[in-house]
Amino acid sequence: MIRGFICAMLFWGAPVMADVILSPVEISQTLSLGPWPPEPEPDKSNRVSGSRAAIALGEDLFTDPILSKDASLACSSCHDPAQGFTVPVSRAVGREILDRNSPSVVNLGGLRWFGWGGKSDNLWAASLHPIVAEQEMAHSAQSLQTALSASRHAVAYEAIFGPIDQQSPEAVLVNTAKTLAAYQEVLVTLPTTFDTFRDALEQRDHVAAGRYSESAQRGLQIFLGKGNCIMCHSGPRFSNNEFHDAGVPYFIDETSVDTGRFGGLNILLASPYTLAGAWSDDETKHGAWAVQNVRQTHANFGTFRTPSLRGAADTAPYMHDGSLPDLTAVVRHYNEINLERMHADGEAILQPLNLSEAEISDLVAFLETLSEVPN
Amino acid sequence: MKRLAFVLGALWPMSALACDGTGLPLTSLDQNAPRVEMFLDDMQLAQPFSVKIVVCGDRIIQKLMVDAIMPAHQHGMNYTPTVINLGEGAFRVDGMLFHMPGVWEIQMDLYDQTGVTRYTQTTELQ
Repeated sequence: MIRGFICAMLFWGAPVMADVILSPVEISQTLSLGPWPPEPEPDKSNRVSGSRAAIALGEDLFTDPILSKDASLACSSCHDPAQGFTVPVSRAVGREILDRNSPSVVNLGGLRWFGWGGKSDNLWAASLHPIVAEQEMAHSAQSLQTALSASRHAVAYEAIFGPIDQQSPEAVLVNTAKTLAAYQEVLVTLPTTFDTFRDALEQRDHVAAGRYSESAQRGLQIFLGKGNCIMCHSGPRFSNNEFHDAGVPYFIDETSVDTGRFGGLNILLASPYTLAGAWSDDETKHGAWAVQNVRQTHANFGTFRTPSLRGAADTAPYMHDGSLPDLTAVVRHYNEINLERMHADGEAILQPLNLSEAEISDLVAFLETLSEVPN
Repeated sequence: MKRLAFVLGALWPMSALACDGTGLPLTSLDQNAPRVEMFLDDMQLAQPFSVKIVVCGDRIIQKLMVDAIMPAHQHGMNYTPTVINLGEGAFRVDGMLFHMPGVWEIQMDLYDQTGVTRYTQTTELQ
């Protein structure tokens, strides 16, 4: 009877309405993927987190090439606000072609780890590394201080942090990174078509939920079940923010490999810029337990941080090396995953999904709704 | 039931937690192993949580080590938990983190004058 009514509505030119086809268990799992956005929480390790002045300066600096030693690169060169805060190339281009794809810098507030290899446990450290990396912006702390002092940003900087020439170069570097972090914290994607569906389910509004396409619902069922994508892409961020071997080759070229989390941990544990370190503004060292207790194991080799799927449709190409051009290619990668490429001591989580072409299409339809903002 | 046990554990002094059946029992293959009860904190996926453990009896415990794996694929935790001796056979284990949903096996090694005794208990995180 209901289907007959829907057919009648279609005949009258009404919008397509689908039934909710999820089981109670699937609905429960779906509710765990929201609500969105999360409540903003100031980063206690960054004393200018949430400061309007710092956010404004961070936004200004984000697009200014002054942050590179030769004034050739801005943060936005690899994290373009007009392109989902990434760029549509496989590997980022700094002063040379880098080893990895530029991750988007949206929805980063409150994460435990940052970057593909997790070499930072806070957003200001993640913002600091590219400024001084020789292959990227190549500043020293001293050259950054000199450039900033002579720039139009000096007034805004000193209004927040005090006289720049009375600070050590390293303090200027950290403060600059903290303004960039303050800005990135407010980059949060809008609720999507999926969120509308998820919230309608929570409110038991099946009429509203039924507006979510059947194809996307079938894709969601695959995401939760046959595909087991939720194993790693869990929670409102669609990421467990931990590290996994996704079966992507980790050879950078014929002679070198990307060690992923293994190398990231080595950098993290040697860094003075962690939540446990002196540059954190949080005397309680909240969150420092992670860097103090994280395990260094050989199994970390070639694992990479699970990326969020929110906004993913806008940030092709995909995977840590940008080797997959679109979402369909990503689904096909997991559908036909080459277990030979998995590490011998790695995880036995992934298996070829053996999805049909229709199922691949449905899963992609679902993933696209994680980027689709309702009118 | 687990949640109730935890709430009771949080309200009572540690000495009163001892082995009255309100905790989740850990199992050992050693029939002579002392009874051990566990009080689970509220677990959330990919978020740190704590566990309280009480070893029954009057054995002198030299060391307690706690870990966890997912038996389905042998994936373990990415963090080393911190064990704090609260005295009177009670311990608090901080920094546990299950980063994937499914069945996890909590493993505990109890070191005392007789050697090492292995205990396990499974729990499922949705």
